[in-house]
Amino acid sequence: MVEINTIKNKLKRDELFLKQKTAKAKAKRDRRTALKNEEASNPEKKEKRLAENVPNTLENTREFDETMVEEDEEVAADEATDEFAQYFQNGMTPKILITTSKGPSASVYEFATELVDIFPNSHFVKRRPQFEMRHIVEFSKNRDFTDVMIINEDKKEPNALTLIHLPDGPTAHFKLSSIALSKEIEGHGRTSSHKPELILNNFNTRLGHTIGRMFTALFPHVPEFQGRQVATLHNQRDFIFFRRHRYMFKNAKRVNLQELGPRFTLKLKWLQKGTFDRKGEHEWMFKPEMETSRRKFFL
Amino acid sequence: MSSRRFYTADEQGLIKVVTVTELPPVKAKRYNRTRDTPESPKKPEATIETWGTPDRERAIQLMCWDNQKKHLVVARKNGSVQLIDPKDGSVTLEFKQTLVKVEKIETAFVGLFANSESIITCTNTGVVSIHSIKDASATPTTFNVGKDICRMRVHPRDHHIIATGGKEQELTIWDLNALTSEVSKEDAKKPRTGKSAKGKSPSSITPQNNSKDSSSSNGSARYKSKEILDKGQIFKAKNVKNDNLDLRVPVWNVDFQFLSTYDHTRIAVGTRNHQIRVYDTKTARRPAVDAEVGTMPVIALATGKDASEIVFSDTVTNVYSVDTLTGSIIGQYKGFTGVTTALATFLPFEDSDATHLVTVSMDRFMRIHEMDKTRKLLHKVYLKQRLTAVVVGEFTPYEGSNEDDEEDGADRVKRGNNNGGDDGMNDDDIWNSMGKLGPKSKKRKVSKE
Repeated sequence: MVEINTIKNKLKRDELFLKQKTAKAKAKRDRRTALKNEEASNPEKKEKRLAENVPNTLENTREFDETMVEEDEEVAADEATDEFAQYFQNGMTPKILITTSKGPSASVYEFATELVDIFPNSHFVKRRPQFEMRHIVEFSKNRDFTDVMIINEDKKEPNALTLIHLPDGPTAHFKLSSIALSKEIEGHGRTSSHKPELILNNFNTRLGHTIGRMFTALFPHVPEFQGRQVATLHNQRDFIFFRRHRYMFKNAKRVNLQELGPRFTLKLKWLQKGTFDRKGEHEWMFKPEMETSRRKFFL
Repeated sequence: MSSRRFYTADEQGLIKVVTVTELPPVKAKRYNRTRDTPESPKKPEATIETWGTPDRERAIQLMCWDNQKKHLVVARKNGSVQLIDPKDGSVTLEFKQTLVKVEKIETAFVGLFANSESIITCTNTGVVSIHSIKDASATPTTFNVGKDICRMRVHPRDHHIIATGGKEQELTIWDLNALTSEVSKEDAKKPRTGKSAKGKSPSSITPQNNSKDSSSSNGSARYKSKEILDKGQIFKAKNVKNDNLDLRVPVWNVDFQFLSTYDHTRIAVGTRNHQIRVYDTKTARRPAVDAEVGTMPVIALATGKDASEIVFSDTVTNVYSVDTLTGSIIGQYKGFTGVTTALATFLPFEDSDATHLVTVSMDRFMRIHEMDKTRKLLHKVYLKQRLTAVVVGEFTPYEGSNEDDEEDGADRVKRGNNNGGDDGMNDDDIWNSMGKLGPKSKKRKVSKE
């Protein structure tokens, strides 16, 4: 077989190349028709082929992580007595205080309004500049709040969210991005005051478990199903996507989803033991040097 | 393969015995280029053995060896102090110390030490107590060293020398012998009063070098101390001079280490205000070296291979090496994702030049780093709990060195044979590869075909 690209005559080379191309295409076509015919008679084979044909993605080629939580007595015992045990074991109802950084701008208030709408039993409190975070934590503890949420802003846009679980921490700090308020979402529905259901996806490592439990502890235990509202926190490649929907039953089989909004994306920057302290001990902290591979994830 | 054991302690009160196996050092070999280089043998995984049942109330706050490395000493959150057999984890001795909540702050152990006679503990309320091991029922000798103590350490050789320091508590070195004798005198005078009038038989910690050491350490200070030291104090540090605004520099000693095992003159201190200080108790009450390192509080401190280097960790998950002569940062250890709560250095095998660093952190990992210039991460073991303490255990040397030699020899013979047998093949390969190189020859080949 002559290698076509070594032929010096352009006409000859073109001719041969075209021939080769059509031959290849025909072979492919033949192969696919043969497969189609075969699978038409034998549908199981098609199913098998489709099941096996899984493309490689960053998620399914994820680097091995030893902190993945599977059925593990020790981790279960750890989680049974951790800071969220009050919520999970004793069925404590969450009560959330939402506030902002000092001197907030209009967009932060808008976002805070949306957050108040999302979390049942949450209260917005205007931030007074004379109160530091540690004061707010103390006040909230005295008033039986279970969580404090603080929206930070940069260039008049919300850019970070700090979540403090009370009374003993932990504190998580997220980068906040891709915010779409309800009114910006086309065809969005109106929210009702029902307690929503909660869907948490892919919080699989030990750190992810902690973060997942932290989010779970923001919502009341038993949702009100007649509201048909679902809040979703979906983790993909360490980005946590928040979406809220209502499902609408068309008939006994079909269900439609209507988005309620808002949408926003969180990315964990650090997790601190205890309530917020600038000099506190960080249980986990993101550093750029940890990004050794595109296939390494922490949540 | 040689192996080393590590004992780690965590918030759930578990002790984990981690056995890290090291492969025998492989000499760099030259491999034939035409063949694939053999993959380096896989690191054997660390074996983990767990002692105890998870219980947050029995969280381990401190753990150390007794001075002869026969028992592990463990101080728990609920106030119990245990001697644990390092072979099977059974408790040989246990006594309980009541830790009361004082003004919303829970009392915690900040210092722990044991020798063959007694166990010394210290709490953050400043209560140092000496428990006798032999006479476990005897009430411990206690005395107060001031409130808000962050750390108490005992000199590794002179067990009657202890150092304390904390929040607004300057570094102070105490002589336990003087203190205990004072207590006993008080006892003799007024047996029913006084907070610490309990020491019936104050066990002298190291009677053989008691008098000599205390006298030498008392007399050896060259500076004139204006402040008269309290009873039992050998040295009390003085705060550094005011800053450029003539404001007082706050004191908050977090952790410190005796730099030498032979004398107790040089002490390295890490502070909450991210300073590393080295005190020389013979020359001055102010630190000989005072350097700012980083921007975040120091959490823990460990001595390096000699007195010239110390390693410390801070609250934003960094671990640095610091030169104790200049106070400058020599290098950083990488790979941490959580705060390192305890560090220890050790020699990887006997008579080795290299030193290794073992750390445990809140991200639930135990890590071992090299301490030479590369500061490479050697091992990383996931231990499922937020870890609080680490102790370096026994070293099991490489067993059956003869066998290995034989294997090595066999290998060598094999390789020799292979080379001999493959010679012809190799030649062919060489010729083939040479034929393809020149562009001219390529052209000729094509035309021929």
